Amino acid sequence: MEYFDPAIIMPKKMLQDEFFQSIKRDLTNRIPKDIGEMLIRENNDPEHILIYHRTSRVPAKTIFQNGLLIAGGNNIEYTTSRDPNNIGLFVNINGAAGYKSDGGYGSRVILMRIPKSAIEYEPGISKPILMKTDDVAEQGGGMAIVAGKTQTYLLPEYIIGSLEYEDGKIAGYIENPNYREVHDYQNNGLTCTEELIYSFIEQKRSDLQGLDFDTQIEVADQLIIDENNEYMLHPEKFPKVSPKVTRSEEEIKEFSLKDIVLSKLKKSFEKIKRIFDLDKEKDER
Amino acid sequence: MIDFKNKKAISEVYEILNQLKEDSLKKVPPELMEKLRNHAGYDVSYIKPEIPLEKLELEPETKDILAVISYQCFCNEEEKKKWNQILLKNEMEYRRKNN
Repeated sequence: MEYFDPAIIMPKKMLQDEFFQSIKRDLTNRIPKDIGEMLIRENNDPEHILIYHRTSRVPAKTIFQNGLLIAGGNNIEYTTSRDPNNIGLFVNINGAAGYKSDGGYGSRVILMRIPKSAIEYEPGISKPILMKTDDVAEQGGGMAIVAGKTQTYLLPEYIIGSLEYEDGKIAGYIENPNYREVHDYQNNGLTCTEELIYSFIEQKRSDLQGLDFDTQIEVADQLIIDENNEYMLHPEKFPKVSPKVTRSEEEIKEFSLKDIVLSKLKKSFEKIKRIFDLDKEKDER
Repeated sequence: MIDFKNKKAISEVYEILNQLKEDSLKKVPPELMEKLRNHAGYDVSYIKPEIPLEKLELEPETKDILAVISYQCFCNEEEKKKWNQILLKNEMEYRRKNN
């Protein structure tokens, strides 16, 4: 099998950096050439966005038939990921192999091709892409499914296929026979709200995504490595690049301690001690 | 043996802690992170740093474990005192309601 050379998508400056050398090592011999090229082609499509969901327990066939379960209401951001930058996409697709290898399961990445017109919501124009159903779903998508509860699914005709993993490597790609290039179904009963907006489009528009391949190589030289050893576009040339968002401990404190009552907290202390043998750890230290 | 629900909560906690800034993450004992990592393994890709925690439908156990970690690792003595007072008040109200 011929493998994709990550140097093709990695800017020269990154290749000299030790951190990105390690990314290159991670990528090498993992992504077959045809799949790597397909991912770049899909990710650079100006009319569509490529989104993906990492899963393991639901067979691809079931997802192709029923659609992808969307957790957290109608917002597809809660269940799917998007990497406008091809390097980010490759790292995440590659890392999916070990993402849920728990219990000897294989894993897979479901790829979806969504027209930008459906994501950038415009009332009366955007075509709904989600359906709500009362059917009892199989366990999957990382979600605990409650019997009888209404679930939201992304329509199967937007799913292009599934990358199948075995032993930590991409073992193959299955195309979804139910994928449709033209979406001409009736809108009745389907869901389309402003919650659908995939904000990543706006946030990362100034990233490498959307540029043709030759321009990507040119722009690559404008990349700089910041103090956190993360790549970013030159701030003067690409002023809209947003910094990496990280959570603050204040947010966690505010969220987790706000409504906890003492009895619950005591119980939690006991629980977490029991689960992780914290006392034992402490004694050993 | 950790049951299904706890396993999901542990995966959520591990993911949330991993999204912390490095300085904050250093406050969490590495042994605990290691244990969380060993017991995680559930798909929690819906947890993203740009989505505030209150907008996520997290397991109640996740909040419990995060509360313990926040209290133990992130609160200073003054904050612990403040939280203890609030928790004590809550406990008294809880007991009054149940009596």
